Amino acid sequence: MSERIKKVLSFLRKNPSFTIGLIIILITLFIAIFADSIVPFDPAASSPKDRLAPPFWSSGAKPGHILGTDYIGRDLVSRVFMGIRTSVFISFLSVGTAIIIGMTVGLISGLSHPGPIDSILMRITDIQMGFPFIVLAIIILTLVEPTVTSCIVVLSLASWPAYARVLRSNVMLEKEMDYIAAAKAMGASSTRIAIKYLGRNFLPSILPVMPMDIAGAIITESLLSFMSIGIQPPNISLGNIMADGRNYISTSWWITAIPGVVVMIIVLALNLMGDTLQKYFDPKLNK
Amino acid sequence: MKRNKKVISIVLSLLLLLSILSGCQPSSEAPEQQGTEPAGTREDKDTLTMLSAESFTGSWDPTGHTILANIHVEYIVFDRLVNMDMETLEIKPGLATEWKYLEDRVTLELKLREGVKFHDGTDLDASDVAETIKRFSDQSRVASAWWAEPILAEVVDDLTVRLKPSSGIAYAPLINNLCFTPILSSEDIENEERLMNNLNGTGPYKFVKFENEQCDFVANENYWDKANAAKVKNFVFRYVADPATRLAALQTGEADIIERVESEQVPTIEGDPNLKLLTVTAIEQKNLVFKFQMPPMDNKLLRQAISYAIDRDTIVNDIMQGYAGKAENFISEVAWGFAPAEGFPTYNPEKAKQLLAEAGYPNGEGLPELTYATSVGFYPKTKEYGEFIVANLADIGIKCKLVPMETASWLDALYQPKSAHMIDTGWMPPGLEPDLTIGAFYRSPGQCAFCEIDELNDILMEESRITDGDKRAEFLKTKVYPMIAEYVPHMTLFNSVLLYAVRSDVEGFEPTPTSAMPFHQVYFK
Amino acid sequence: MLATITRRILQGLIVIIGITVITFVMLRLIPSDPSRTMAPNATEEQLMQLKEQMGIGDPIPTQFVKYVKNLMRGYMGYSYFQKADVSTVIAKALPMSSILLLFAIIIAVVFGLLLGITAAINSNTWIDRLISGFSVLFQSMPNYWVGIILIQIISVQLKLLPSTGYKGIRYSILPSIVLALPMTAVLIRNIRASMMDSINQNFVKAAKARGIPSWSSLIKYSFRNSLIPMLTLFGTQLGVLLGNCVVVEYVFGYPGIGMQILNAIVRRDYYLVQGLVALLSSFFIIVNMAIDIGYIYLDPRIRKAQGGL
Repeated sequence: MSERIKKVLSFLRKNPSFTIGLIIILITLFIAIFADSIVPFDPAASSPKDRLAPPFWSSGAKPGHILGTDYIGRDLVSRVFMGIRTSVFISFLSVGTAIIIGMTVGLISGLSHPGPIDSILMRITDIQMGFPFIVLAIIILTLVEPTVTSCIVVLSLASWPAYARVLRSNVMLEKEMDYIAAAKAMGASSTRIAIKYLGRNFLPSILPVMPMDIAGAIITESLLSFMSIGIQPPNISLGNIMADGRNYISTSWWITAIPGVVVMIIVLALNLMGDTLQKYFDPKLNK
Repeated sequence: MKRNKKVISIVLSLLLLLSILSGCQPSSEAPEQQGTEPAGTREDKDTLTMLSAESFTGSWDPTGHTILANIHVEYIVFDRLVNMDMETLEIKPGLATEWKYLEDRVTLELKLREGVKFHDGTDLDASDVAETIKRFSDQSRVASAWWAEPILAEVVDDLTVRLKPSSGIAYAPLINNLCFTPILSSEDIENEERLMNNLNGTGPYKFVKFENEQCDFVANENYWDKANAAKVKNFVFRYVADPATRLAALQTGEADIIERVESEQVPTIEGDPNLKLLTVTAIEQKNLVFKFQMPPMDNKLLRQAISYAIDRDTIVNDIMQGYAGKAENFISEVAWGFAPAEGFPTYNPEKAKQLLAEAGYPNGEGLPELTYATSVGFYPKTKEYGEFIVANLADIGIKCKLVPMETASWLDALYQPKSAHMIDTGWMPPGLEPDLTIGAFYRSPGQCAFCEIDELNDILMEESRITDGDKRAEFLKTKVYPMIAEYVPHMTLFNSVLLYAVRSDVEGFEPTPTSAMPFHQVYFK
Repeated sequence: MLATITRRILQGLIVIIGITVITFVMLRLIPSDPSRTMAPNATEEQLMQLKEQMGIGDPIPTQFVKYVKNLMRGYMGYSYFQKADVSTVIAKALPMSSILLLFAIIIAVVFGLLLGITAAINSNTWIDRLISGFSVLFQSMPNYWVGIILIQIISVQLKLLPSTGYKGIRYSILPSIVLALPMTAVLIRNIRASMMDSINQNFVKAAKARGIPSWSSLIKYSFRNSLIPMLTLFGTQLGVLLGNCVVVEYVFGYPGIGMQILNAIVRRDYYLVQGLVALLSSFFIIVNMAIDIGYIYLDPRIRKAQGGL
């Protein structure tokens, strides 16, 4: 056990950018989970006399409002925290959903290869990849009410085909391996074998992609609510805050800029983690 | 280890970015002085550019739609028979030089101006007017929404035309409706293809082309009214959906006039010496429509209870930040025949509770959860005051769910009888005639609410037959408005205030309550 | 090999047809329709009349058969809101977006190569770190947000470049920079990686040992070497690029394909949405198909390994 911890620690020491990314993500998760207890103000409470207060480093800042306030005097820190909660919740769950859909499709497809089911599933995957995502998202979110659940489902549509393809090719490769052939000869069913040896290749191939996909989901989520087709007020999302602030951008830039910087930092952290993982699992890049 | 420094460089660049951003801030405190001539946009000053918040519809046929963007450009391409002075409400000559009711007090006779030419070179004559009015009031045309019945038109001679309601009964709104009805050419009307693909009027600007959401116009050099001829040679009317993009374009000088400025943008505009803000109280009101075919909204007392529960003053002052006018009637204060409506519901939660109990739902017991549909991104702050109204209703015990909708879906819901219990909408008639509003909403079947109230229907018919202006106004005030206030098929929330911003070198731009914009009077300083 | 290519093309066709069908059906499922957005307060009869005019009065299957028949004849339908055939609208909007994409790709390739190679040559110095740092940063910024911020800084504050619409090539600069940023970042990192690869190759080591430490030959070699990975990258990035293009056009009010598609959805301009979706996805699929076939051509190993796909 301690051996394992040592290994992890040495990995973290050797990969400081991963460590920094991890720390930022842990902080983000902390904020997301405890958002409603750590917010300094009620994120929905307006206070007209404090409206459009700048962040603490500018003159005219209002005490207490570290990152300033928006156009009706709502505290930006509190709103950003709640926005982080929404964004993190939606993006993590959407990638989770994508992995589940992708795994199911990939597994069925890989196992039934070659065959009509495989072909059909792969064409569906192609259709999904070829459909301009933003258009699909707008149409679906017009068709159904844009709630948290529908946003999760829509976002998961963006990334499941990649998982399906990875898993499918893994299953196909495994099926042809000698030891599988041997196991088959000994009477094991191909389904069992595939599942048993899944972990061998699948996890390493999706692990580095996952942070990048979550990052993509965070950006897309904020984009959808920015275009006012995603999460609707009074739910707070980082994209909503940016959209609200856009009208004030030439006088009160912070309302739009700060949520953007927050998105950037979270995405940056995820990219740093993904980068390291990619190099770790793909020795070719690790030079 | 090498990664350490990578992290440092990321932090450094982040700081750099933040400092660039902070660098923008002082400009808000000290108005910027630099660059009077903006980024390579205005090579010359002979083009006026207006950014529209609404897009054009497909048909150029003015009788085939009720879309504001089209109405706005029709205003400068076509002329009308008569015009209404928006302040004095006086009717002034346009293409018609004189007009009078014949002895039957039903038929209106108009004499046309001589020597007026359409842009395609043909002369204006009585048959153009006759065909136009017939087409507009033809009940199968979309724009007949403004006309209660078909109007018969008779050509007396080349320059004389007689208009008569097909029912043979006097129709008071007739003359007021002529103030916004564009006169088309009868040759175009005969050939629908031409009507749908071109704008051919007698107005101060000629239509050049439509491409990429942009309409180009050029001044009509042979305009009959020299005093009102276009002052700027070219006029560009372009659709830009996003309000922030519109403002940015105005700030950079890429546009001269923008419409539907949001109240949040006002400080930016006021802080910029290159920009001017213009406001006008509109004929448009924002309404909360009750759908009669969704029980229990057919319950008059429930509608009254809801109307008394809404704190409209707070909506006007705090949520709309003053960029809205307090409503005192179901028509805007700028409308013809306006007077505060007797019995118009005011904020009174106690009375609302009492009415709710009388309606059969004491403290909201037995009342299902009501749905309140509203649009997103079309009208300002619909979600904000929607939330507020939901809270108002909760105060008297009514449970209500706000359903924000994308614009096209909301439009569909608005004109469907059973899409929601209540729905938010605005109504911008093209003229100041009150029937354009109360007739459309309350004459059976009333639009949006789908109400059929016989008593109200009858009194509206009666009102529309009083051709004497003073008598009609008196009748409206004493009979019509109190009855609407009793039935409240919809509750009026406030009078809209239209916000425009222009470059400070733009002169002569005077927004009107109907949102028609006399671009031909605009010039550069 | 010919069989593989034929199969690929067939598969691509199936996918394009699938996308067309899905778009067609979904558009008709969402609330509202073009007759409503054209004349909101029209009566039911008037709406029906409008629908007939627009060719959307029939039941959905009949409409679809008609649409397909028209497609066979090369006719994509009519946009009532643009008052032009869908193909005409596309013909006008496509060059706009193409300029944008072309600029973005040029910027990305030039800066990607320049910075990627610089980083590799100076590997593990502060230059490398700065470049790598910036590339991760640029990759992490939401595209639309960069657009808004740049409009503020470059157009509104500094008044250097125009921000909305299109009246000349100057109007394409800012949006294409925004569009290019994330792609540049990805390119920098990939080019750096493949350069580093080459530097460590035995061949280069040998060349160095023989006393020919010529960077130009190294760059030449590694450039050739990185062609295939760059091709792959382009295939995967294309989808992202097209999506970003829609968003950037929205932020800049730039009258290209993306703007058209957003407006068309809002107005329920059925035939235009269908045409534009088909265009975008065909482009995506054809490019990816070409890349796949290119591989098969370039690399016999893939030819063998990919038999299954």
